[in-house]
Amino acid sequence: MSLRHRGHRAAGASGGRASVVVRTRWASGRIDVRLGAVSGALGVLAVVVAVLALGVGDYPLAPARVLGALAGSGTGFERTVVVEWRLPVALAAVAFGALLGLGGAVFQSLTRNPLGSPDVIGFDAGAYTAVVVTVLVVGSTGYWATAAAALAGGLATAGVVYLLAHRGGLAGFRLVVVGIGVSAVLGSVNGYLVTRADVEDALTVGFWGAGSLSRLTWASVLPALALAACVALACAALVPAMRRLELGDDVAVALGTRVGRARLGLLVVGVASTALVTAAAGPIGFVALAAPQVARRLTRSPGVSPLSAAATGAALLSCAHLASLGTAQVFRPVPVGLITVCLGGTYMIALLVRETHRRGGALW
Amino acid sequence: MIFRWSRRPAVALTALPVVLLALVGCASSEAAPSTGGGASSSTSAAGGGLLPAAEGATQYPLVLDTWAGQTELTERPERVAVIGFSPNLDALQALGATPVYTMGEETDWPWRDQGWLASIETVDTATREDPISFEAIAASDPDLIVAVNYVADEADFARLASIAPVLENAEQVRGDQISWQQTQRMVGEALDLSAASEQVISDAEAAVARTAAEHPELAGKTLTAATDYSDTGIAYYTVAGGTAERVVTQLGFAPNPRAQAFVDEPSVSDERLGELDADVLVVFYLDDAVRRAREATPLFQAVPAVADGRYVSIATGEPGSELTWVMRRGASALSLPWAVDVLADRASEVVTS
Amino acid sequence: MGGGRARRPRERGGHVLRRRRAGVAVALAALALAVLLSLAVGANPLPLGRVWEVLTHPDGSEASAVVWTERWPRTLVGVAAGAAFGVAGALVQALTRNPLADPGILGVNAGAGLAVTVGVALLGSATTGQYVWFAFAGAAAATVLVHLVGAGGRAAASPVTLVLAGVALGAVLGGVATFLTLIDPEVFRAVRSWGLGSVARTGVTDLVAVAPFLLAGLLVALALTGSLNALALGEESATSLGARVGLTRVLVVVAVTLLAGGGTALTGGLSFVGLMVPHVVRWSTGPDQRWVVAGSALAAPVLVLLADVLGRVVARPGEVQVGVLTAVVGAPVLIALARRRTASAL
Repeated sequence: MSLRHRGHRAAGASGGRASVVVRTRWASGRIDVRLGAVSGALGVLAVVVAVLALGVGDYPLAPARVLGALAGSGTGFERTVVVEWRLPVALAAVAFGALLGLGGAVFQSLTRNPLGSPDVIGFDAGAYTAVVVTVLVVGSTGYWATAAAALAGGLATAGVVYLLAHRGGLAGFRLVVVGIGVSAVLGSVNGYLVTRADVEDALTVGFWGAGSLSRLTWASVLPALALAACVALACAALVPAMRRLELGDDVAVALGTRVGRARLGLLVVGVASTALVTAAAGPIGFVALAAPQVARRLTRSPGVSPLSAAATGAALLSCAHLASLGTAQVFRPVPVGLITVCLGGTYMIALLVRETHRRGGALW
Repeated sequence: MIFRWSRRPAVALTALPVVLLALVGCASSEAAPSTGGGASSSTSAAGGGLLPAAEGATQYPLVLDTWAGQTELTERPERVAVIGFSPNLDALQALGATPVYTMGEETDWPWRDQGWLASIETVDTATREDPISFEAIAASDPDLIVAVNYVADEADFARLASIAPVLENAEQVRGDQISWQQTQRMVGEALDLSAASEQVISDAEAAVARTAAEHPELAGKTLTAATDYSDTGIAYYTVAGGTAERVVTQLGFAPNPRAQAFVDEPSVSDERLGELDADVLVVFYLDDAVRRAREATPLFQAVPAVADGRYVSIATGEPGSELTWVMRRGASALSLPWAVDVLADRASEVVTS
Repeated sequence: MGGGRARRPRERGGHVLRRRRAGVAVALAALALAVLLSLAVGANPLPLGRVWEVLTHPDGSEASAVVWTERWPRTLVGVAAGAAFGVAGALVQALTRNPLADPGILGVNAGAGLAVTVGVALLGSATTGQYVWFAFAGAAAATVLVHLVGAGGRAAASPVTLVLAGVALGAVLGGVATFLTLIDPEVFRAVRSWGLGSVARTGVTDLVAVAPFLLAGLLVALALTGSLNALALGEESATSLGARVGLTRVLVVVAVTLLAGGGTALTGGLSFVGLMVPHVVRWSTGPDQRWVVAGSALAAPVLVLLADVLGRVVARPGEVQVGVLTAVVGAPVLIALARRRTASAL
């Protein structure tokens, strides 16, 4: 498995990059040391924050009792609170963040454009529309029904955007413009559907629409985790093809890639990773857009990497989850989707400012 | 080549959770109060004596059958948690029963006994944006959760049921078709206060009948109640067959034939305000600015009820503005007598003048 | 980029001029038709003849009140806000040489929205006349901020960086506004539905209060078109042609602030209008900014009015806010344009 970015010498002023050669029975290649270290650190951060989040809540539990409940001791009800209520949410924050980062990386690589993220080009809006219709029209709120609807809606939107943007080749720019158009239409449809709904239905959909983890249970987290593992494996298998596609279709063909099949596979992986999260927690904005870009800048690599993007996404959503719990303690519960927007957006802006300053010159 | 660890992003990344930790650290320690952010605590009524004496009519164990599942009260509950809309809390106040947990209310209802409210251990004001705070409810250690007309799905019910038995409807009811008498009777049976509940209900119904009898001038008249939501237009409240229409007909008003047109779609177009007309028109406004804007439009001034002065206007925060809630889903043994009294007085003023 | 210029050889100038004049004539006719439609269609089913009657001879009847006090004000607001957003979009696209630039996408509307939210928090004000100043301040701050972030030290930011900055800024500003409304739902009930984008809530008095700013913005915009044409040739060529690049930039930001801030104050923000209309206009006029700006000022109101009329019809007796429908009406056109090979030419 090669995670090393080609072409960096031309792109980076810092010269070459540290890398280690990995040889195993089934794969050999170079792993960029910085990329590995940053991804590892972010992954550890995500897990540490998730564990901290287990200690926060309205039910009073000292850290020792939380750990005790995790380990299996403690009273029955403390175990219920920690293992049945808090753990699935904390775990989902890490896994969903990773999925969103992964989906963003896949799409940004596919479109060769940071704006080609699922949240910008409308795939999560499509998934959301499908779920809103399922809840309002069919009246179903079970995990599998919403997950299937989200996946179908996401894939259908992806298909529509792909077809509309495809015209003798798939220009990244055209894809983004078409995606913004489709996502604007879907956003309007969603807004309209929600305002037309009964109060009770609107409450369900509205709560879900804010992007919140707080109602997740094992019943929805377990299947989501199982599917997430499949998506991650599929993505890992597709990474070499993804790298070759980034060099351009001609080069990819010359290197023996079946371009159409690889692209379709990546599309499905990208949509699935977004739709999985949308189905369980509603649209959580900005992680898919920001995580790959933040990761790219942290690892100083010229292209997006699914591994570091997933680690960044996990850290971002995990921190947002902890912050959401914190605000609930201090004054009011704030949906995690709102916090990802503020945290991810601010960090993104900071990075952009730094980058534009580095390009030099006076402002204005 | 040279492996350089960039400090700035690393610092940013490590600073972030540290700040967050500082934020939550003070709030999550065991010493902190057990409830959400804005929760106010008072322990004056804790430790027994929360409920009136049992009547001995209810047989425990009592099976609570709900649309979402079944729970069982093995003995008479002592510590009651109340979630949901105001009628649920009203049902307990009417019985003189003090819960240990309730969600904070956004409004100071005129019928709410503030002294009684202050004796509730936990008034959880953090819950408003997030429908149910399971951990805060669990922390109040209840042995019954009154959640009539409030549980959204089976998963929520299961989680509530893992804390304590749950009181909910046997079938899901639409928001504008809720019977406050049924809620009162359910609470009465669960708390072994059925006779007291029947008394509360008949007292309230008698009070309403008394108000109606005091206002013969309203008998047979029609009344339209509507709310001006400003941006999204005027919503027609007294639709045929709805809760609001039931409230006003109890006062002796006749059903408004025009109300039939709003059953499916209760919005009134700005261009067709004439459809609001009735013998008495009551319009609720979000604030005074909205009222001034509406009253300045010629089409509103042209509505016969407005032109003839048979028009009552109440803005949020003004006396009587809580009427809107009672007309929607806030009716209870406590709120309904208050509401018909206010409505009869205001309507009577414009009808007789 | 440049494709449009390349296909504009001097000898075809006469043809282009004829086509532009025809385009303006078509736009004017469409605008007149849209205004009439906006006056004729609504929840109150007035016959066309009756509408014309009360339009020419106001008689104090219900029909007259419907046409004069309900439909005229929202029509005027639609025309004013449409022109404002259309021209603001054209200016931003020309300045940044970025086909994706739009006050909505660059976060300007979100800035105005946040400022209005803060204004309500501070003053508890609830009328459009009082919103205006906050909306201006917010729009100006967001416009400057997004250029500082996205353009940094360089003459023109790469389209992607600028849009990235705009999307991030818009998301954060919107998030903070939502966060504020969460703190005190009671105080913020007034602003909660404000961002939906509607022309129905604003009266003539508020329009009169905002109109001078919109007019000033339009005049500045028209005056700048020559310099923007020079700027399109690149900074050095522009300087050698005598254009004052720095001044032009500052004035464009001023005009965009006036237009987008005023439009947002009137409607709560109609994104997509500023993104889409200049593309459609450029398609028929070519890249000459004088024609693009003038054409956008005429064509954008048509889009807004038609969307508003549609909103009155589709959900009778309720209404769908025009901001919802500009997207539904506008997006397919944008997609069709994106599929054209020359769509991105500026």
